[in-house]
Amino acid sequence: MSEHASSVPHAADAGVQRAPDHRRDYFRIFWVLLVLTIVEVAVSYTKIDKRIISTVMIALALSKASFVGLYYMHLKYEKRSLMWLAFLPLPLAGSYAVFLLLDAFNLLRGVPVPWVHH
Amino acid sequence: MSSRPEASYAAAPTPLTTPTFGQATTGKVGMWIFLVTDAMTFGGLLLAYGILRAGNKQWPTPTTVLGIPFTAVMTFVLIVSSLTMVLALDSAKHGNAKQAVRWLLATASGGILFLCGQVYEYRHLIREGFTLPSGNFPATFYVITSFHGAHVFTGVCYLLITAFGVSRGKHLENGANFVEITGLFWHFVDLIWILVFTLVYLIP
Repeated sequence: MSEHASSVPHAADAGVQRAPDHRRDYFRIFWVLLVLTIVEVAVSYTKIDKRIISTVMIALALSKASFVGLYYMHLKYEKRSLMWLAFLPLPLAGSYAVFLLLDAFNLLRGVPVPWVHH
Repeated sequence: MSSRPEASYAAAPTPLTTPTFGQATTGKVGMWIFLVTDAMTFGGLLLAYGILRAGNKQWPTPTTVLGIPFTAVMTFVLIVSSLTMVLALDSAKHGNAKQAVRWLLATASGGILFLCGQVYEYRHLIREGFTLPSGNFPATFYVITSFHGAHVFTGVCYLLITAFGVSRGKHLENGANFVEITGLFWHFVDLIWILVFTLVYLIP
């Protein structure tokens, strides 16, 4: 019993391999997320051009989301195929969103739609 | 019929390694597929918000209507809860059930605190006349944030069920795979809030 217990100190060791230690990464990412959130809130109160603020904000939000996905959701440590499963739909959805938003902006500015005949 | 096929299935080593997804279990791959489809739902709602906003010159600047410092604190609570979630997973992976349960309960508390904050925010906004039918901005705001709130509520229930299981000595096998899948859902809730906070609250 004692020999068996000494060779299996933790329940998790009953699995195939010992769990890697990511604690330092977890705390580092927490501080990064916190600092980026403070920067975002601070930027929202500045009087810089709206387009610049929006671009900076979206870049910061996507960075924060990527950190959560890569480190907290462990995509960084998974096989590439799982990472593709999560990330591949994003550019497709993103490009769809861009085209729809461009269309909305054109409507707002009164740009005539070429295939609509009045 | 012989029971041999069942017996050999039960004796299969875990976690299984597959050429496509390595050691990721079917449960984990399934959760990822669900999260991608759920992200599309949120994407659709945020896109509707963007299109309505782009097409309306009178759209108010959100920072003048919504309480940014209060929501920033709510965001901080969710970020802390993500940290406690990964610490719960770390403890579970190292076989420390007691510590894992404590971190899971801390994570669930973060979720409950966030929901209380959301109720307080809604009450305040409704008193100010910012009600669901009072315009496109409030309509999209309430639909997006309450849909996210429903995810937080589901996540809290999921966390409590997982904590209960771990406290009874379950879910630690297979590299604490069950706890990791619970964590995937919880981090997704945090990830979506990061985007909602920026797109709905902060962008001028």
